Amino acid sequence: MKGKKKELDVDFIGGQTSLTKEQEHILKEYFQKIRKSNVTPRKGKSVKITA
Amino acid sequence: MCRASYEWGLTLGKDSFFLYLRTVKKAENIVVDLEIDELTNSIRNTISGDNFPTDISRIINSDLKKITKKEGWIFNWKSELRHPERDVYKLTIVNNQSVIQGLISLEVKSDHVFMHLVESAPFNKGKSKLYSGVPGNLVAFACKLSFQRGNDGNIAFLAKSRLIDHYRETLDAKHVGGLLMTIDSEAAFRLINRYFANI
Repeated sequence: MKGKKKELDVDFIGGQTSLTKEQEHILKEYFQKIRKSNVTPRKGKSVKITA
Repeated sequence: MCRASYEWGLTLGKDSFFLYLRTVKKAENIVVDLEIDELTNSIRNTISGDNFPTDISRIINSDLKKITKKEGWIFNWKSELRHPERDVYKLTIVNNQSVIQGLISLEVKSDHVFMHLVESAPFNKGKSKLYSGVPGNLVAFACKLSFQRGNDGNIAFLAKSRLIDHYRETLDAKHVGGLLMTIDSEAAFRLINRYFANI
């Protein structure tokens, strides 16, 4: 991380409204994408066959 | 992830630890599970400059009288308790649980923790606030909870459009569309390190 971070300077965050279906969908897709990018499938051990 | 690995990460430095997290996750395909209970957080008195260690706990019935709009709070916190899927936590100074410094409403979802509301106490708002660091501490707590519940530190919340850049700058949050913002594992880990450092 470069330089000193600024302090979070807000009195409140959010609002008392529920997420729309579209917003729920955006989040679902986003976190699915993150999970996929963090996980690589295990590969079987390769065995060299010599004649 | 065990405590020893976490402490080893602190010794090595943050960058090395992130590399370690990535390597372990890619190699072993495991969920990162940090144990960070020993760390303490604090808020700073803006007049004296002194730091005060803090606690975060669930609000109790007797708190409800103090967190009303009449007392200067913006949100209707009582109505948050009507959502069984949400938990409301209060930030207090150690040994002074009766004075609430700030509140946060969180919902643990299947892949992240959604931060519904965060609010500093009326006396911690604006330029004449008594303590600084309240919202940062509460957000860092949300990140910690997300790690503990197996959501890799992932957080989501709705931002006001004019504050999107401020959240990018202060929380390393990502804008993912509309007013939606997220905090990913690495940013969450940085926030935990920043706000939960031993004093």
